[in-house]
Amino acid sequence: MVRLVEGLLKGGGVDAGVERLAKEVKSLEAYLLAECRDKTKHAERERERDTQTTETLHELDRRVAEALSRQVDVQDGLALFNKLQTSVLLPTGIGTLDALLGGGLREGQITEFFGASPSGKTQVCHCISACAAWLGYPVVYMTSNGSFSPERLVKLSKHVLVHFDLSETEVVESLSKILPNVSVTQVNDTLSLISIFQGMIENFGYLQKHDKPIPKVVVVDSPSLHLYRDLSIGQQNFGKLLMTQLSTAMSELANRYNIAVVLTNHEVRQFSPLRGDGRQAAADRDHVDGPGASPATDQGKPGLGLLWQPQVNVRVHLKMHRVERLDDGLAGGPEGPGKESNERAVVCKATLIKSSTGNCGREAWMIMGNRLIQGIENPHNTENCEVRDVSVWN
Amino acid sequence: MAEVKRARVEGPRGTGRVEVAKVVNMVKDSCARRITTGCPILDETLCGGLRTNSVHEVVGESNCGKTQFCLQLLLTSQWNEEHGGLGCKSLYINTEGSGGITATRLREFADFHASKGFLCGGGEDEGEGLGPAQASLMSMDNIFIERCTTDDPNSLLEVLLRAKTLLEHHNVKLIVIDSIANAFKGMSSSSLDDGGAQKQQHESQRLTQVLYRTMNLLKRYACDYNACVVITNHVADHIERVSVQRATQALTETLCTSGRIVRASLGMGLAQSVTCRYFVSRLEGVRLNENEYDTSGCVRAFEVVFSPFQAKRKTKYIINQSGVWGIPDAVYETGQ
Amino acid sequence: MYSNDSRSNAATSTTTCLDAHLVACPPKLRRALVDAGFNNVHDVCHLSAMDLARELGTTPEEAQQVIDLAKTKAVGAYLGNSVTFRTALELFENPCERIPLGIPRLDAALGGGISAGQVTEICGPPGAGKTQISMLLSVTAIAGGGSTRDSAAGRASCSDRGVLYIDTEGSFVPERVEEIARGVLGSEAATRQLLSQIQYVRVHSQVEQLALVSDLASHLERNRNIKLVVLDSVAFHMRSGATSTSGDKLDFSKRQHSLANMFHLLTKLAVENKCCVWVTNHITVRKAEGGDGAKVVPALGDLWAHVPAERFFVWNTDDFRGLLLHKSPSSPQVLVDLNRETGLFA
Repeated sequence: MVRLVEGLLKGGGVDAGVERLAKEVKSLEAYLLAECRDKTKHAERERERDTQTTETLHELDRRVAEALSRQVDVQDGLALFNKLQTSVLLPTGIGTLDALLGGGLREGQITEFFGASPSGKTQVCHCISACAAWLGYPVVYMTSNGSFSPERLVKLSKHVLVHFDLSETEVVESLSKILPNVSVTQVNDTLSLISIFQGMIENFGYLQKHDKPIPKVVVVDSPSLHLYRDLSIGQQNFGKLLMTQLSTAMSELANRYNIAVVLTNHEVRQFSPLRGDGRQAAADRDHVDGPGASPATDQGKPGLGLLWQPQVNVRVHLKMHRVERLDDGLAGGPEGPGKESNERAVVCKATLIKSSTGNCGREAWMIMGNRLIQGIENPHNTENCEVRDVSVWN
Repeated sequence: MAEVKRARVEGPRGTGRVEVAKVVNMVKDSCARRITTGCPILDETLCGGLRTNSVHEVVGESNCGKTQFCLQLLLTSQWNEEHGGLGCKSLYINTEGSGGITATRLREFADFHASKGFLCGGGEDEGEGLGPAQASLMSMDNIFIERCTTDDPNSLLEVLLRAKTLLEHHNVKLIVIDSIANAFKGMSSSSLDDGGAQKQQHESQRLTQVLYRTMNLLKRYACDYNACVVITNHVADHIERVSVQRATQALTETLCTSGRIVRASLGMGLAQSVTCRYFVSRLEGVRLNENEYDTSGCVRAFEVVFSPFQAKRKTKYIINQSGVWGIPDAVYETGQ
Repeated sequence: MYSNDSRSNAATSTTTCLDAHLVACPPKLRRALVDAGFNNVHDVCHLSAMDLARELGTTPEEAQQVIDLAKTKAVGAYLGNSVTFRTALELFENPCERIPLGIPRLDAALGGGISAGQVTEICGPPGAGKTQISMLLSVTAIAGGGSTRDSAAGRASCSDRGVLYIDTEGSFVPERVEEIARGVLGSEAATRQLLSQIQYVRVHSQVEQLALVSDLASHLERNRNIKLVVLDSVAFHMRSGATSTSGDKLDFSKRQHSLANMFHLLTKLAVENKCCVWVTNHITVRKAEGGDGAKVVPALGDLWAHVPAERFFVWNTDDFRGLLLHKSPSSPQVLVDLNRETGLFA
């Protein structure tokens, strides 16, 4: 967004702004504009052949401006900046994660959480839903493996509400407001996911016109499972088409109605067939992707490949670090030898991989327990106690 | 490939016809039977003997009596049903190239079994009137021996594919492979040095696939012909500094033989495809103090590592002229 | 990779306005449709093949192909648009059916047991007790959990739920199930009744496994009392079937495709029939990148790891048999000592 403002302020008018957009902002919206411009250029050449007048050029400029104002609502840089200032940041309910994201989820953007299984992706989605629902925004929650748990949502809602200093009775009252705000559905394949998005794009306009509330948050957990099935079908193009369709629909929904779209994605390892060369290749790729794309400390990459990567505005990597007894205090407690206590919590690390505003590579820590998710200070000696998964229990 | 074709013909997609069996009927028919080991103490450890319709794996270091145990089974499976056998024939696949010794030892066992009157010629009536010598000789007819000592594990698979006729037409209900580790020896050597070239890694993956296919075929025979499959496996030293072994060790029980910590060969791939695993080991410092047992050999232990139908038990046993015998806990004491 | 990108970007521009269900057309027809201004299945459905052929400038056969596609997809589109959203309140007030594991502490943590409508996985090293727990689950699903130990009370009140046990490894032992059932129920008649509600299928190859799972939907349609499908194990045939026909090179993409299909069918089954799908999985040891360590992960790769909504780990060492709730959307990790909590391994 910042870049957009700059482009419009510094450059010579709308046309240059478009130029810059096409060059710099790698979003679908930009592709749309570029395509629009291509078409007009094509028309331009034809007409030049016919009439050779300069008037058409003005006409074209007007049309580009029109297209621009329709698509991205360009007034001027100042207005855009003001809009940016006043736009709502949706808190995730986890203090450190909010700080990492620069205040919370930004409206109109697609945020992706990725990580190995389990790393707390679904938990973060639940927490975001609870928080947005409490603020009075309807939430759409789509799950592809049935992992939505209303019980968990209630527990987290309670935690969020207590966090906001509400009394017991107020908590119970608020719960009855939160739960109806979250609409849940199960998605069984990519096509139905796309048609749900297309349906939302159509229907929300109607809702908006009649001053009905439209959702502020759309959660999809996770599109990658279905997309992967389509990609592996053999006709690769089909899968890729669905992928681009889905991302187009998502970004259109996000942009047109200022909705924060939250996705989850799986993590893939960097494949290195030969150890030495593989590492070299991985290093090369990092160089191409830019320094912020993959910090050297984390080996995982988001799934779905290079085509998917630019479709997301903000990307956060989640990693489960260790399991600890909650009794020992939130930070820095030693790992318990598998004994009596039932109350255990997981410490997770979130790393900002991609963002247009934040400082990529920053980290945030949070703890997930039976009744809570909350941010914590960077716990000491984390480097030494990497979770050895189940072995840690012995 | 034949399997694939069959599945396509029998179960075309979308027919919605799923053939199910009711468990209550399976219990009533009690389709699975047991083969006695010939020794009541070992039988008790095994909950009545080796169950058919399953794949049993016997793991142990060399000179633990794995082969002896198998040879004994080749004979006890011929016993008729009132004695605990199946009255069936058996197939013995040898991959270790020690055929000469095997045959002599087998005769020794057979003579003993015949003298006790257990052998009666493969369940056929005419065996009744035979003398022990003849019965012993005839029992050899009921054992098919196949040598398979090449390096290529595919040849083992081929032998097994050919064995189908034996199961179908010759009443073979026991298949013994001695040993599976030898047939797949390429796998362990290449998986050991992890820095190996890509080619070696491919080779190891290919062998794993062949192993899976072999095991699947064995399971299929066990299921289709209600047969019992016994395979033997070697052990390798557990090396603590190899991280993969350390991680595995943290989740499984320790196996100890001759005072060393060991692991079964062929890794988790094999362990995941057998129904039950038994571990045989040599005990150090255990002596017998009674005369009725032959004390020349050392005392060994037979242990159920895992099995879906047997409790974890352990027993001691010895090997003598006449076979493999479990010994009751009371008769030994730990010496110096 | 980059050339692919540019091609797909071109594809984006042609399909931005095209209905999702027409994307499945061949590329040539897709372009013709866009150029002629058709972007909705309903535009195409009511046309005759000849008319459409004229509009698109294609042969009537090709036009018919598009119409057929549009018609089949149009039905799907209506279904797709009628996706029912339910609010979290509804879901909370009508909780899905739970099947108890028969291990009280775990059942409490899970809110009554494993829930219907999702895939639950148990993995562990060979011999740790995956099959035992699966068999226990098959029994408690029917007997109705609760206190499994008070057999003296003679609670012969079996539910009428059914269980389908799919055995790919041949490790299912009917005698053992009978033993477990008798331990839980006590009475002989109740045990027989319980066993008659368990159905069993043996699967011998990957193809059979896929065919069976895709046929299950209609089987469950006819046997509506089946509330639990056990697949023991999902991994064996999947791992053994990764060779291509040439036998030389490993075809992992084929395996990935089978797995993706497996996942699709299983979750669909769980959701549409409101039953629990319980799968067992192998484990594999993965070396840490660059470092010295290694960790134990479920087999079948990273993608499959995301499929089960809940996962258990079971393992067995010399003095401890542990069952760990490793991943769950509703509960933090819970560890129980199986030797102490159940009499299953005594």
